[in-house]
Amino acid sequence: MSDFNQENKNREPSGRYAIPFFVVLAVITVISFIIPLRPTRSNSEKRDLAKFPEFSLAALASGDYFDDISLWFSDTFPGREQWISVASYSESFYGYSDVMIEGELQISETVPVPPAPARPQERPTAPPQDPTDPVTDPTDPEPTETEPTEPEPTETEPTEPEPTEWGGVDAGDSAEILRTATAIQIGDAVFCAQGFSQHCSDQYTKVVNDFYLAVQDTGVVVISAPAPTAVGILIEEENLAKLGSVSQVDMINYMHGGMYEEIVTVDTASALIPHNNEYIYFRTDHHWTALGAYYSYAAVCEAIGMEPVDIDSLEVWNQGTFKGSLYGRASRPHTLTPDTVDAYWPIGDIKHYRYTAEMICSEIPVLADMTQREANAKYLVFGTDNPLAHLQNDSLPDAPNILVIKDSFGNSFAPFLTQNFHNVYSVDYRKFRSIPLDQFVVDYDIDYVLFMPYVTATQSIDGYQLLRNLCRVW
Amino acid sequence: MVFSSLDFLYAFLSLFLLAYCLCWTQKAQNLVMLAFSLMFYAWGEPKYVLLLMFMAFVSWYCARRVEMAPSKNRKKLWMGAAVVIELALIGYFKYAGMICGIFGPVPEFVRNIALPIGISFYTFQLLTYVVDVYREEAPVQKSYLNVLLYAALFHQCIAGPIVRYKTIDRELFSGEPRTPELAKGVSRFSTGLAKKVLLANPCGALAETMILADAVAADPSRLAESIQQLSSQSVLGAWLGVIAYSLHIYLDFSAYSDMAIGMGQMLGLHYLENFNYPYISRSVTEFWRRWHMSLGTFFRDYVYIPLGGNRGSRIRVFFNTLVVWLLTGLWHGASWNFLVWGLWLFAFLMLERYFLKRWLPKIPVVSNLYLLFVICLGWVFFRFTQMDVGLTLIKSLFGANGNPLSDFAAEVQLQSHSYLLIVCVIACTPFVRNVKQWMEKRVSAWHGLNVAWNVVVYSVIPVILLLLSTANLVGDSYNPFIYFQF
Repeated sequence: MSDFNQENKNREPSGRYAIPFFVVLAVITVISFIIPLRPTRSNSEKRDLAKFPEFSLAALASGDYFDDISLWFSDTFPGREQWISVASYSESFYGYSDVMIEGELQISETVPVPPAPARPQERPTAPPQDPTDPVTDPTDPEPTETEPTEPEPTETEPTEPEPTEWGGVDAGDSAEILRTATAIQIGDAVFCAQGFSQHCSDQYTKVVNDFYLAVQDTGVVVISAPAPTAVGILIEEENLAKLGSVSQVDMINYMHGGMYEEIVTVDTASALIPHNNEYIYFRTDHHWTALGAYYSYAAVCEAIGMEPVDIDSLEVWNQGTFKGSLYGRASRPHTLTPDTVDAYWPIGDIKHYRYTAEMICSEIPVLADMTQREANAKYLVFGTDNPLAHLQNDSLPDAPNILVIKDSFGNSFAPFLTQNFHNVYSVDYRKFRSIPLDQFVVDYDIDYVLFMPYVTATQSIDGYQLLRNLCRVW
Repeated sequence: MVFSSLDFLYAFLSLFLLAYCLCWTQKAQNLVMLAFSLMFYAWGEPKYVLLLMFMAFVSWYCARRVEMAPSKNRKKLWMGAAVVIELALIGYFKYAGMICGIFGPVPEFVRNIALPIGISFYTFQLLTYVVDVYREEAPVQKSYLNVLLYAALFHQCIAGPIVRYKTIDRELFSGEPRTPELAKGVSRFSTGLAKKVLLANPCGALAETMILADAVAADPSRLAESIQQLSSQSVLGAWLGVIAYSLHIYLDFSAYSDMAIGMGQMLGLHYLENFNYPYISRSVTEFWRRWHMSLGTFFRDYVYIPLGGNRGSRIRVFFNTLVVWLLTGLWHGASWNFLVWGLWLFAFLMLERYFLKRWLPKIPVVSNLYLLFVICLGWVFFRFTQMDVGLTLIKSLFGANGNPLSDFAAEVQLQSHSYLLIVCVIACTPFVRNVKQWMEKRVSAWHGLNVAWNVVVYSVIPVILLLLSTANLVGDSYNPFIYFQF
């Protein structure tokens, strides 16, 4: 007798005991063939589910046709999300650790001592050109010499922002990073590991320096304030190496160390760390909360000698429970504490415009109502990642104008700037190619340019190449 | 299609059972089994279903000629013809690349030869049929469709156990009504399913996290990356990976056998056991008596004994055993690492036969640890087709790469899988079976208790295991069967 189900031949249990098994098998079989019950989209995995394959003789002969049917059958199984919840719950019994790692932890480069600030005319330590980088972006339009005109808002009906990806992140940008980055669940929150790349950091520094050189004659103030990610703010520094991460204070200081003295550098990580016991980062998403964005805004204001608005004077608008971009990457999603999205109404007579890549303008709400939308869409209260967005505070007609070069972290940040600036232009460096940026500074009478990519983008080749192409400096 | 997939459970199996139940005669039931078996095979290998049918034809025809042949020599000739054709076909489809590689670069057309699923299993089954007919240990089967059914039966066609024809002839083809053991079959099947989905799969995923994903480890273009990753893996992480893989390979393969045996029981077919808790063995010799028993039996009856077995000089026995282990290694794959794995086990078998045999039974715990150590290291050779990668891992197991004793990632993975590993270790022992038998003895005296016990064991637990397995199969990307590649 060789296995634990091996029975004594003398005691044959009746076949009737097997009836429940066959009933359950039959019921689920019937349900699985009711096609309308099959989902087409997975919210937890942020993707469209497999489709029933097209028939072809080649696919049939190779076996791909049957493989694809099998994939469709399992991928779109009725009650998919509920089954996955049960599986996730059962997986919580695998062990007792509060920390769970999805993917492999890489060993990060260490952050060197920051270089001394350089003078613009010296430019002594220009980092070497990345041989893999394209010198020109063939998709970039040539600078035009036409007189810039202020785009007039069209009368098209503003549409509700659609969640193209979780947390308003579009596919093809940081969504890819989110899918591939090592996700670490610690207790009830998920983090993305964040390593350091000296090469990419040097390139980011070079982009900002070169942009400064391109616009220095205009008298514009260039500011660099990369947005830190949660792992660098909420995790104690001595534990970062264990998570394949490094201090983001060191990382930001390294990048800023090589920038020209005329560039205003803001150590946002140091500004946020004293508040890391507050709700400044989402637990299920890679973004900061509006509160986290506020502390960074306050640090930027302080750096340029402005008075930040008192956050207590702003009205809070709660959007409800939020399941963010990292929810699907968690090892045990059911153990995550749900997030909630608070947005702050900026004070004043404020208008909000968004522009397409063709510079077609439409007016949208300053904050979009996401209270009735699905849990993964709540961050869109701050708007989607438009190529260009424009917040105009007509209550401050004499205030300066600012151009923010940002990604989705900037969406929750930009509204605070309306409390100090008349016009806040937010350019998404992943999408905006309509006007050369140095020309934009002149055309739109920009007084301040704020670089605010999130730290992950500064540490990736794709990230700095996008910035470089936007700024047309290389 | 694999047993532990949603399309198998909720399309193929359900429809098969329905069609089978609608047939009243054994002949009709066999036709249904044959039709579904060919469909099952064609689902994974549409074109190679013709190869399977041809090989079954060769065995059927040659066995018929063996029976009809007037002389012993003629019988031997037909038996030999079947063996040569079957082995030539498996040689072509499975070993052509390896053999060509000995003499130089492998030609393009050889590299493009795909391994038909289950060819190692059904070839051996068909060989046992012809040889047993020749030896007059099994009756000849007059119907080609019946031989085809024997080879193609979806329970065991693609991943074993290797069922000998004479074992199953009476139940499959006698015409007498079969007596299904539904409750036992359902219990065995659901246990196998859960063993595979709830235990083996997470162990496999853990192994891939700690000691490389299969696709990475087998990719020659990523050799340097693989070596770098394994050489920097901590000692704890390396051992965790190897132990997880050792648990995975046993739980995975034995689960498949459980499901095959369980489905057989549902229909009244009794396949021989394939595993007998191999990890509780105290020697490699004992291990191989408990591991993949149908393969061990095949090599014993069709290779070792015909070569002379234990009889003859020491050198002759040594040679016979060496042949068996080289073949056992090669059966598992056309790659040199499998040969090394076979030789690794052979070396310890010889060591035990001539030196350790007397000592191992006297030191129970030490002998258990010795066995586990040898087997776990053996699985490293087994897993890595690129020998350099396997050797790097072995060095990491002992800290010989300058790798740390432990690191954060390994500690986290150990903690977050600790209960799972404990359950898996228990599942590798007869503990649950013994508890079940002990309970059955206690409750058998009281009818009410006995019924309640049966309800729990044969009604409630199988349903729970089925539902939990289904939940874990939905959206699960890690669900390979290791033994499919053989």
